[in-house]
Amino acid sequence: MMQLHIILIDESLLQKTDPTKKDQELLVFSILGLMIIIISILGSLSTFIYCLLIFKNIIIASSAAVFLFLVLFNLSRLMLITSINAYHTKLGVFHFDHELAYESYHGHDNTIVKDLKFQEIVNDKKDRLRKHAETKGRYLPSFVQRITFLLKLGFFAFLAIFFANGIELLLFSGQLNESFEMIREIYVNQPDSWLIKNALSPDEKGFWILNSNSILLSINVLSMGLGWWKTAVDIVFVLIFTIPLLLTYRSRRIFDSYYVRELALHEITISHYHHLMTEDACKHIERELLGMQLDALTESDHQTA
Amino acid sequence: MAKLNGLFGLGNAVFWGLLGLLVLVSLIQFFDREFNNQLIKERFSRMDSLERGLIVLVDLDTIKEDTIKKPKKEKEKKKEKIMDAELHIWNWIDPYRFGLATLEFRLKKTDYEKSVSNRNKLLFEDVEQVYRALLENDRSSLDNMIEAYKQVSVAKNLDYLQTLEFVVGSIQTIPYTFVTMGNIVRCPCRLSFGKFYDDCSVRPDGRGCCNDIEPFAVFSPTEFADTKKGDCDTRTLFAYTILSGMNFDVTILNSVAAGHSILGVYSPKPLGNGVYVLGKNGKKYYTWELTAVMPPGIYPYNVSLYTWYSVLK
Repeated sequence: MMQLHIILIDESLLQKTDPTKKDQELLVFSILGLMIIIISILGSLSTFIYCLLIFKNIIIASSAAVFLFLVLFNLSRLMLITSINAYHTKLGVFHFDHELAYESYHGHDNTIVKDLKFQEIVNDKKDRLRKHAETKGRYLPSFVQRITFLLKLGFFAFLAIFFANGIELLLFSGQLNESFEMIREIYVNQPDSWLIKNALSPDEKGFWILNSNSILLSINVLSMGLGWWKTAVDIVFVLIFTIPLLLTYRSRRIFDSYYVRELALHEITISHYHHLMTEDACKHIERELLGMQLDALTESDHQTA
Repeated sequence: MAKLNGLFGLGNAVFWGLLGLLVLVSLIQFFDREFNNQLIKERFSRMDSLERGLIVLVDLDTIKEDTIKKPKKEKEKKKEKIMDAELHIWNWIDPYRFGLATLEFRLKKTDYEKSVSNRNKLLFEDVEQVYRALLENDRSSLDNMIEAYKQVSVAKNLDYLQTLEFVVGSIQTIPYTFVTMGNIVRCPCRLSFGKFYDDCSVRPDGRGCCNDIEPFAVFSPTEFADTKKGDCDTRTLFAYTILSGMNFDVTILNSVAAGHSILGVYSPKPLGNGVYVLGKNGKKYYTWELTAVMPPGIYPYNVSLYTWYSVLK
């Protein structure tokens, strides 16, 4: 299977992982990435339909669809990535508070040697943390995590239903147009009816996809026509939109993956490295300030003398 | 390839399975069969804020023609205990709730003839006197019809307003026939409310017209029950006869300014924002147009409400 490494995965993080495990994890995260792309495509398609019905302009609709694709893709990525953490491993405490993993450097080498020393320190610490990073046992999310997850889930379910309506309008446009024709026949003796004037008479741009100007009327007719099937189709969309999030939250393959641990270690390592750099810079400034003070004192002694 | 199992494997399978299912049902057009057009038809037929139940979907082919059965042989006549009475069967589409509706009643030919003769004898005097004279003469001949309406009301378990709607609906759905008198207006003619042919019959297009109906260009209630010909005042007088016979509190509302006659009905419960006229007895009578299908309390006239006065109440 072609693996999509482009979306969520920095493959270099899995260098020290067993090749079989690495392949498995790449596959898992690639599938997750593909799911996000599918969700974004569905959202984008739905936006295209909505915009086409509202603006009746293919350029506006296409632009809105591309824009929504990018927004949805990044939003889904954000939601998923912020759901992944290492709190359930012994690494969690360090991931939560990086400072607990920091070690200091007390040497006085030149810059190049110092950099190498820093990398040595952080890599050594990373290796020690990696050994320390096994799972604590059964993962029990905290209350805040549960609430956050439920909010995210609700948000995705809302998006799913919103976008589902757009796609359903496209899927059932044939039946809907037949129904609109039938409604027109029912109101044939009432040409001044609000419904005919405002919802079922084309304006100067004509009709696009559906022979109606009203999205609400279309959704109403769709609900009537499909009945419980509409609910079933909506549920299918809700599942499609929320499965990636559910997997991120509950699947051991994701939350207990090497990739997640390595990502946490990587974050700790980076902040550790920058901590050492900052510490060294502070010491350098302190020394400079001390030197300036000594110079000032020496100069003042000369003047006094 | 790495094998996926556990929760991720299941979630993965469900995700792609649902996506595939969605594509599949769209391709095979599964929902074409499940799409319920009939429900949409029914809902939109009932949907119009003011014109409640204006349209009822019934296949026109299923409506039976009205029939009048001639009296049966002497032996059968005795059996029915109604001498020379014709069986009338009215079929219509009830605009308020029932769809196809039927009313069977008997009307004696002699009563019809008596009613015509009574109307012809009346003089062009006060309108209320003419109405009263027609009413008093015809009420007994319409007893069977009144009883038939009552029976339907009981059989269908209708409440006060529903019974009113049933009776009024049976009148409103009859095509309009214009009635004239004297030489001021004679058919064929073209008036502000349409053109009318010199054809004294109930035309489906409502363009029939009967000339020289004296006095006041009004048919008696029995004539209307028998022939179904009549314009506004014939209908209001007929409705008044039937409904007062059923002990409903109704009145006839006439307006010289509007040149029109409508029914006024008292309702024990207020009919929303319905328009009403105060009767001589101080009661509120809601306006009810009888020449078109329209619910009570609607006021589609261009004259002031104060121009209407209550007759026979």
